[in-house]
Amino acid sequence: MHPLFRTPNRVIAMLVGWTLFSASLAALVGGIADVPPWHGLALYTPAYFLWLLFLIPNYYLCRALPLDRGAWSKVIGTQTLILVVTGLIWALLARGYALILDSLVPSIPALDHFSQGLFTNLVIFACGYEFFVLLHYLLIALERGRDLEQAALQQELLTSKAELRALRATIHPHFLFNALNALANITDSEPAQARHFCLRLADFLRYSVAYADRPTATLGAELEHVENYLSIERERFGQRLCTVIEADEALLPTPVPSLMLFPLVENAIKHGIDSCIEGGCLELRANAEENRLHITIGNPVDELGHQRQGTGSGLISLRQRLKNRYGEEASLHTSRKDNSFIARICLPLPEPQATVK
Amino acid sequence: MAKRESINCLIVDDEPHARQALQSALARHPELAVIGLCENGLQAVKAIHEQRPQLLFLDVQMPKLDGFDVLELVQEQIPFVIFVTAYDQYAVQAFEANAVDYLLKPVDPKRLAQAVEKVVARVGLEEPSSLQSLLADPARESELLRRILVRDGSEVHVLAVDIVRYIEAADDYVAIHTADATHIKLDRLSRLQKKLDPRLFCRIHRSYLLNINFLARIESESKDSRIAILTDKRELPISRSGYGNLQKLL
Repeated sequence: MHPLFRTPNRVIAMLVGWTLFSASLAALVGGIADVPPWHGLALYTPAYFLWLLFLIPNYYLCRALPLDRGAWSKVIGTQTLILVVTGLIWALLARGYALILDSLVPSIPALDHFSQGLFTNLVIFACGYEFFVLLHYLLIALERGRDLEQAALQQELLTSKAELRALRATIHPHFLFNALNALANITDSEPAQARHFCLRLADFLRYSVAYADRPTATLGAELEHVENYLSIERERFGQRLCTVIEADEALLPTPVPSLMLFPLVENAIKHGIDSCIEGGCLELRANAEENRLHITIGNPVDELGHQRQGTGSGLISLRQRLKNRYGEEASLHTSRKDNSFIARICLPLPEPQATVK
Repeated sequence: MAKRESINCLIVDDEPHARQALQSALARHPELAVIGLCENGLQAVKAIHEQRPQLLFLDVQMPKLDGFDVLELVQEQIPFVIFVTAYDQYAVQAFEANAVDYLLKPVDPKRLAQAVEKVVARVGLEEPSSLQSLLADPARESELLRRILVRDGSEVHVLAVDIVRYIEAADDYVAIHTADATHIKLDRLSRLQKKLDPRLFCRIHRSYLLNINFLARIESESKDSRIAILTDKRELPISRSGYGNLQKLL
């Protein structure tokens, strides 16, 4: 949409403004050509008004011909060609109008005036055209800047939301109560285990806090984080929770969005394994294929079990984060088949030299 | 006063360490005898049915059947209950279920001692009261049922509501018919109906609640007498007001 057409007010303001501009220009050109003032107004005002037909659509041409590096000759060539073609079409249309005016109002020698002023008018048209080209490129540049800024802001907002969520999940009262409770249960009976538990909990909290303002982590750090989380949950679940984590060693230094795995693993526990009376196995696998990183997280789920209410906002915000960061290059799919649930993340891998330390 | 026999109790909690911790804390209270540990609601229902404990230490959040589900299933054999949970959000509901006490995890030994005292004072004085108030709890009723819990002796069945074809009233019981079985549950049809999705279940007769997905067609015998033919060819009577309900729904 042309920026001038975005609101009805703008359309009205532009039409009024353009009419006034056409009339003033007509008076000026008429004055210079020394024809009676109202002859100039009657002939040139509608003719100049017609410019809009050629100058407004130029916006789309400018958008189709971005001012990228090396594209200058193409831009100048195309714009000049279009200028010549539209100038001629305009001259023909204006001449047609002069003919009509000539026959309707015989007292104005419109065709003569037109023929005498043709060259001047073509020069003015060219100036107007160039002015609009500059205006359009300026508008496009401003818009692009604003879009980029908006996307950056949105990305930032999403990242901080995800971080906030992870942080909230970490210090969610239920999570902390459960953790403290598990700790209280084992302090007497298994002091060594209790100490280990405290260390894992501390690591888990530290990572969540540290990554509150860092958008990128390594796959290795992310896996360690979920491993810490799982070791806390394992204390509660006992035999009901088994975990399989498999990742290619070479993939561990790969940069990935921070706190990407935690919401998925947390979902798998809260809504999956905890719904099954016998518990089950959480399987997390990471591997590279065709220059892409694939991560799958699978868990059993009991359709009729008690499932803790979730809003699905974790998945939505993760999906949005991936989209903002990688565009269409990354994906997050979830699927449910019989009694198992699988989440799949697919990310582009950075260039090979970037992943090798 | 003669020395009383110790009170038999059952610990129900899905976390292994929590069961052990509570069991060892109870070792200091000889007036209680722990006769069993249950890891989940299914085991608890079975153990209550078979061992008839006098007291339950019951966790609320458990997989498949939570603490309140267990109580719903054993309502006619209900012993005294002490809820033991990590969260205080269930406290009101627990006391509505006539719980003797409500302990928060990690369990403080002093609080546990108080709870045990309360139980000792109440056992022998009164019969455990029924659970009617729990089942009428508005918070629990506001959610539509996804599943219906039924118990056959010590065996628990969890029925998804969409496999239930129709439910029949029979005195204080309801008979829940599915493709391959009929389950009996202690409940009233009108109360069960309130908890089921009204877009799915239609009261076609004083004694029948029909899942409309299993309705094949309606036949009229006379002006005021109609019969619902189910997809399995079974026939159920439709009363006049039942026909009105059906028309509203379809």
